[in-house]
Amino acid sequence: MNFRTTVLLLLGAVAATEPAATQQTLRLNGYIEHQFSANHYPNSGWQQLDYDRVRIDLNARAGRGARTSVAVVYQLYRGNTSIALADVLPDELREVVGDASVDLENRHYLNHAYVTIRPGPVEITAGKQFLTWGAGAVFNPTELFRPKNILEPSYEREGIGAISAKLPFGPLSDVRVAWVPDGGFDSSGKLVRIRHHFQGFDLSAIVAEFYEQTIPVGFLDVEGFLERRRTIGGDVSGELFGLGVWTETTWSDLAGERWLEVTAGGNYSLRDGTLLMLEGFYNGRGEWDAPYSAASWLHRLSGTRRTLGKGILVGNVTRPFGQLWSLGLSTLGNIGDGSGVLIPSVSYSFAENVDLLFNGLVYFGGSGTEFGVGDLGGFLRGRVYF
Amino acid sequence: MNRMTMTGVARPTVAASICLLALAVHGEAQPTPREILERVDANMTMSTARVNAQMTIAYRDGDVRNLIYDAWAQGTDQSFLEFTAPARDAGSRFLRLENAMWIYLPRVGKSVRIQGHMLRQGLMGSDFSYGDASENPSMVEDYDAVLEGEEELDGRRAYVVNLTAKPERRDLAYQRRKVWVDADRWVPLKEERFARSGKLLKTALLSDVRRVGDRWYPFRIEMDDAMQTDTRTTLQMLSVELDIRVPREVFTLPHLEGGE
Repeated sequence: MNFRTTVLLLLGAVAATEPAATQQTLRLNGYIEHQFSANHYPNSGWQQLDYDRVRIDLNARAGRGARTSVAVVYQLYRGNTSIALADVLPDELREVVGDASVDLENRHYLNHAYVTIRPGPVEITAGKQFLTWGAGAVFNPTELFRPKNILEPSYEREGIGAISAKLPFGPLSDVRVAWVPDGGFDSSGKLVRIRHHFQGFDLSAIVAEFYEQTIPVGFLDVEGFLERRRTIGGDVSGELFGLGVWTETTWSDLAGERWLEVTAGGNYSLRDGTLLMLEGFYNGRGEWDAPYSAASWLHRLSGTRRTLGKGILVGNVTRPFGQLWSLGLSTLGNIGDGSGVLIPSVSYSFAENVDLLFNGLVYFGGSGTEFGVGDLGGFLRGRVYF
Repeated sequence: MNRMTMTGVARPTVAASICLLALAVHGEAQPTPREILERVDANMTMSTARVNAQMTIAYRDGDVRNLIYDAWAQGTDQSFLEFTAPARDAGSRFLRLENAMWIYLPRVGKSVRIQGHMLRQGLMGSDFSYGDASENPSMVEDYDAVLEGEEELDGRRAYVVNLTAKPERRDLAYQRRKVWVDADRWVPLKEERFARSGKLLKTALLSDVRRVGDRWYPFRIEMDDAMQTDTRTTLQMLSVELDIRVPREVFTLPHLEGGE
């Protein structure tokens, strides 16, 4: 289905719902986004990469608790769309990867597409949906399927195909069961999550079983193995002594390999709007210091492993200026190998439906460290909502 | 007894706290400050409400932003708000239960707790704060009152009442308030809000007072945050329904995340 066909179908859906459906409501919106980014690599110098992105959201309510939500995304890349692995891996692995690269191709996809019905007290959702939760600001160990981009954790993510059911047992309490089809029943993901509000704190617990690639597919033409992973965990968030605080943890078993992940953090805002945030992340699956194994690097690049290091600290300061401008400075640091990245940012609300954002990336650390492979970079992004 | 603020989450407390009603009528003895507060609270005690409103943020450089939202409220401590315009904010929802608040981010598909210290920040960049939506709006329970006198404001006779937070309510964001109450319709016409230090934090002007059922209700609230000098926010009610049936599930996290 090409772009024009999809737009016509969406507009057709809008027109079709006008007179007949007395209980049905429909909302169509979205945005157009352009991003210019440039990154400097020690070996290949400056590389430019642009993209245009169109997102069209369609949300319909059909009465009796039934609703559907779809978002179609088209993304076109320009510039250097072939990222050499040698540019993003440490020196000692460059000979191994040779000329291998990751090629970014124009793509269109459904960011999410699900239907929800509510027969009685249970709400059932089927389709590509958001299984996103967790109290952590940057690191969410209990999010098992679509980890955040730690360099821009607030950016939207794709949903995941699943069938889920939610049963509320209070205004702030529910049980959610999800099945993530992947092959047969045994190899599909399954999870149960319970959340509750108690004494001013939000609490949750999660139990999950799914299959994970031991070596990410797509790099170096290496086929990986699927291994069963079992995870239990939970999170707590609330307020202590005027500070917003949270912690989130999981314990996992992947074919005999067992590890703990813990996030803990806090934030505070000043009267002038300045927001201060600090978060620490312990990744029991990581290593305390460089050099890291080739497999770890590939997992990190593919997103199946959150970090290379065992200990990561994140800090952020954001201050609004005149309500339309906002300045920010974030930093991620690997406390084991001493590497890190500084992310200065400037955002400007240019008009009611126009946002501009600049993010810089200043990496530091020696060769082979978690963040020391990078050099310097950044992007300028404009988004117009409709 | 259920009580609520008329403007929902966005500015509920503003309306409630500002909408002080008095008991006196022409020719009667001047009411005591406590009686004024009791009448105010009594007038503002609706079991439920639904409000559709437009929030206009005017910037010093001439730029103007308009936001439209629907809000539901029940009692003093439950409210739900959904922005429907502009496109950038459409689908953003807020749930307040007691003093806790959550926001739903539609493009991320996730609800996030708004921590207590963030309640001081401006709601969607406006002069109204998240905290204004979270306070207990009971004037009698929260404040001691002193009647300063009478003044004419916008051509109407008004009682001027000074409020000071009771010792057990040191947690309130506004430790002092000065309220001008319409002495005939018993609707607040103006309010100044102060910090504990005595510093003026906010000024609210209420107008476009209309009859809704057996109550008088201000359909327009202008708010000026003294710390946010480049903006001025106006809240214009487009429709107000009081004491209506609101499904219990509206004030729940599943509803926040689903919106149905």
